[in-house]
Order: sequence, then C-alpha cells, then structure tokens
Amino acid sequence: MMTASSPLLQIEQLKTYYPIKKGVFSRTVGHVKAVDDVSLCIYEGETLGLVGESGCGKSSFGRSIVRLEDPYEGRIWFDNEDITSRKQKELKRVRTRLQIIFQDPYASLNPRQRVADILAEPYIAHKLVPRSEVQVRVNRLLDMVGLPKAYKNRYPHEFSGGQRQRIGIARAIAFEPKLIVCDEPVSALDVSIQAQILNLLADLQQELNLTYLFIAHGIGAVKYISTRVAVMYLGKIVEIGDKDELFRSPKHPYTQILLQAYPKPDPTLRGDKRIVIQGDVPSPAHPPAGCRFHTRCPYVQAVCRSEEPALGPDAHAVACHYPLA
Amino acid sequence: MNPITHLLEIDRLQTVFWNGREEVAAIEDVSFSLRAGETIGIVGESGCGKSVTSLSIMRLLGQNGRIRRGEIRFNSRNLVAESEKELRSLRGKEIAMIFQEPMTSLNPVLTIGHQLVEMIRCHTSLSRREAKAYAMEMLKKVGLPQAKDLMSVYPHTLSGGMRQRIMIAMALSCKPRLLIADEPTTALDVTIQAQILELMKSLRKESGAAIMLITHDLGVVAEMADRVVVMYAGQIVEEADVFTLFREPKHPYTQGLMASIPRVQGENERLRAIPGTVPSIRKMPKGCRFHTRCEWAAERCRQEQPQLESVGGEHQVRCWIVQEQASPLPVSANFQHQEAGV
Repeated sequence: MMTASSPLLQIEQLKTYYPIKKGVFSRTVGHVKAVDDVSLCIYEGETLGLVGESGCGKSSFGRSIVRLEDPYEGRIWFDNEDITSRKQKELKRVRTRLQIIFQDPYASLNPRQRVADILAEPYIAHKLVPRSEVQVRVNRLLDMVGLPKAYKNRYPHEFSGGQRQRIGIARAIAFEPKLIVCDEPVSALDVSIQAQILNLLADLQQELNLTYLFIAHGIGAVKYISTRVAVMYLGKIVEIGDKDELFRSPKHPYTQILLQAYPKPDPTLRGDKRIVIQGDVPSPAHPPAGCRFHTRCPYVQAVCRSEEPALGPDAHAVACHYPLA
Repeated sequence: MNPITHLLEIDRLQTVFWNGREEVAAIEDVSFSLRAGETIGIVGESGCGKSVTSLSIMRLLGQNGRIRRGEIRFNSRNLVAESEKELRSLRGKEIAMIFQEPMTSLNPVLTIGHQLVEMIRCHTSLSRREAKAYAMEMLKKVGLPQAKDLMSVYPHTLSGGMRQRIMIAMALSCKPRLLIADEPTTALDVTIQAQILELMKSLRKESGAAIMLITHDLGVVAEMADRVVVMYAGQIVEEADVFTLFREPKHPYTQGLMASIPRVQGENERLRAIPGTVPSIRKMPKGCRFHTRCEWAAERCRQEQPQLESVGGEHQVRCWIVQEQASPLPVSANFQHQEAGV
C-alpha cells in the first residue's frame, strides 16, 4: 500500500457538538459531544477503518469530514486545502473529490427517480461533462459496479439491498473522487451480500486509487478492508494503529474487550475465556471525568478517574494510562 | 422411533400468506425436532423463512397467514389443531418468545412492573403482592439489581441492553419449556451482545429450557447452539450438530455463507461471495431453489427438487450433488471422521 508523505486528509482537534435546547426560548443548556477533540490523518491509497459502538461518534465524525455537519471547533485539511469553513458553494467543487456512501441505500436514493437519472445527477449538477456524454458515463458507472445496463430505467424500490448499495457506490464514484467516507456501507445487508459489496469496494479502490474512511461496528468487515484501524469510544479515539498489529496486540482495554466480545464463527472456541464488561456506554452529553472508559474498565486505577489520558503521536498510539503489554 | 420423546417436532410444515391475489408459501416442507433442554440455531438470510417458522409455532401469523400443511407437535400435542383459546394459555407459559427489537415488544405507556406483574398473574395463581415480589426476583436474576426502582419506570428510559434483559425476565418468569429467541442480540452493540449471550447461557443452565435461536449471525450460532438448521428460500437446506456443521458444511449455500464472513482471526483472503440474490417467494426457481446461485449446479438441479436426506448420522443435506457423492459409498472416510468427531 502506498503511503505518501503528506496526508490526503488531516484532521486537527475536531469537535462536533450538538446543542441541547430547552425551554420556551430554546436556550442552549449543554452539548452532546459527539466528536470531542479528534486528530488524525488519512494517507493516499489507504483505508482507515473506524470502529466503535453506537453513539460513539463515528458517524458524526464521518459526516463532519464531508461537511454534512459543521464542526464546532478544529480544522479539516483535505487535499492541501482547509475546508473547515468553506461555504456550500465552494464545497461543491471539493465534493467532486470527497464523497460519502451511507448505511441505508434506500433512504439515500430518491424513490421517484430512475437509476439512470440518479446517476446522471452528479454530471448535470456539476456541469463538468457535456450533456451528450452523460448517458455514456452512466453506462460506464453501472458497468463498474456490476449492474446490468438493462436496469437503467428501474426505480430504487425494484432493487435488493445489495443492488441499491451498488447504486449508492456508483453515484459516489461519478467523478473518481480521492476520498470516500463509507458510513456503515454493509451493516444493513445480509452476510452473503456483504461479501459482494466488500469485494466491490476493494476492487474499485485498486482500479481508481481510492482512499477510504471505512466506518463500521462489524469488526470482521473492518479487518477485511482496512490498512489501519482507529477505535473510538465516546467521542474520542482511544487507539489507532496498523491493522495487523492492532488486532494481534490491542493496547487499550476497550479494544481488547471489543475484539473478544465479537462471537467467533467457530464452535470449538466456545470455552475460551473472555472479559465481559458490565454496564452501558455513558451519555456523551455528560462524559465521565478522567478517562472516558474508566466506568467500565476492568483495570481501572485511581489516576484514570481524574486525569484524561492523551493519544500519543506513535504509529500505534493508545490513549490509556496503563496500556496493555 | 426414538424412545426419547421430543419436546417439539415440526413435520412438513407449510405456511402461506395471502398477498391480495394468491397465497404464497413462505416456508415449505420444514421438518425438525428439538429435545428438552436443547438449543437449536436456525440460520439464514432475510426472507429465508426463519422467523415465519417460529411465528407458526406460536401461531402469530396475522390475518393473512395460515398453516396450510404439516404438524407442530409440542409435548405430544398437535398445535396446528388447537383452538386459539388453548394456544393463548400456552403462549407465555409453556412457550415464550423474545424478539429482536425489545422497544417494540414492550408497551410504552405501561411501567415495567405493570407489564411483568400482568404477565405473571395471567399464567399463575399468585396474588398481586406475590407477583410483584416474584417480578423483582426475576429482574435481579437477569442482572438488574436495581429491581425496585425499575418496577416503576417506563421502557423508553432504558437502554437497549436493559430492555432486552427485561424481555428475557418476562419470558422466563413462567418457566417455559421452550424459549424462542428471534434475533435477540441483533439490535445490540457487541459488548452488550456478549452480556446478553452470557446471561442466556447461565439462565439456560438454571432453567433447563429448550431454546430455538433464530439468527443470521453464524458467530452467535457457534457460541450458543447444540444443533443448527440452515434455511434458504423457505426450506431447510442443511441440518447438523454445531461442530459438524462448522467443520464440514456440505450444502453449497452453507459453504458459501461460511466463506463470506470476514474473519477476525487469521489472514485475509478475498471473500468468496455468493453471487446473485435470494429468489422471490412468488417466483421460486424450478428444481433446487439454490441452483441459480450455485457454482456446482447440474442439469438435475435445474429440473428436480432435492429432498432433505441424511448424509451420515443426523447430518442432513438438501442437495443432489452432495447426496449423489454420498450414496455410492455410504461409509466413506468422511463419514467415519464425522462419527468419531461427534
């Protein structure tokens, strides 16, 4: 995998907060801190997998990068350009190179448009391709994602979940973008279809030299497609590193527990000891003081309750006072 | 016949739904049985009929659904022939069920305590006070120590994991002999899923209830089940004990399912996806229902429908190719290996 010296995407201390409004005047009484001070880089040609449980802020993070959410603080550098405070009009230009694929392909496709129109839309909106050439491009897109051209005049409801996700992918690659944020692209699909879509994403990456931010809660899919993996808990990155290293020797207790909690498709491993953590994820409106994981951590010490651990600058970095050996 | 009577025996069940024009069969020729205390996993992708199978047992098929053929023998009673009234006394007491989405199966306008007590009083002769004490005991049993406070709260204030624990408490409160769990952990996060699976294991040991676990997750099946039934397009395509199935899946569909899970351990090869999509129940392919997606499909597979047949012991497969390979040499090396392994 090639790793350019300058990152394609650089995130600096990004915070995405949602205001909590109360009362007749909708006064802001607090914030849900969905993404709280996250810094990371994504290099050209790689796939960064982002895992975490629901409510950890991984989708808010992905949406902030493509500016579907406005960051509260922090900087987003994409392709050597600061896009943090770009206005919608200027963003349009950026978005030919920066795209997103959503979890539910049905909700993200207009039910009243035919596939041919859905896929022609990017070319018409950006006016970068002459009208006469649009249909040729649409055919090429269908071909690239493995859908028969004969399906061009069908509506989204006539497709299965996997086929709809192919349409979502086709739309995202219309201008051969540099970075695609994949927000849980296979979570809603059946196992056998998941494999089809994961293979398609891997093939397109090769073909078009794409870079992915792959957000998922399914650890197997992340392991399959990623080059590096970041683990998120309650708005923070708790561990980031090379995939194989992170899976072989997780350093953060949460990563370890997450990897163990996943039921393995092998009945002979049934007797294996594993740590089951108690309790639920705390509310991101009132995150615990100190280390955010301390309320559920089996190795908690006094310092964890008061001081927040920082994520180091290492290639395999961990935000924990007592990282695992 | 087997002298050990089965708790549940399903025999050539066919359940149909009226779609406004015609009746279409959601499941066809489904037969399997379950011994007391055993856990059977039913796996398959969406639309394969795994939920319809469980809903048929409870006869919760709505206005458009009915059982057209077959028998469901529970404890030697044929449930298909029972009246609605008799089934009502059975549901919740002898056979309990937990669903995927615990929010939609709890009543949002009644407190947790109210719903538990109602359920307990419906099936036992306990007084209101006794039922309340028993409800609290059940909540503690499912790992909710703050039982007293929980009795007076409403479902929306609880997390998904807690709601599922409450559903389990409710389901087990009348000591059912069979618990049907329909995707009980699918809506939950992995760490919460691990908690619920551990809880189900310990309660299973304590209560001795048989469990019918319906899921699309082969990991959950590997973790929980004694035996596994694999369903595809409304039919059972393979049945075996869990170790045999994972070691030697025989049906091309089961093999495809296993090859398409990305592994957390070990190396990453390219995933072997099953091409195509599940056929619609209105237009089932002729012959074997899997032949449109099967890489081994031969002429016979396109013409004639295979039956579920034993390929050694209790390992049954619905596939011409596997059966033809197995039949000329009934005691193959494969077969002996299986017998030794079980």
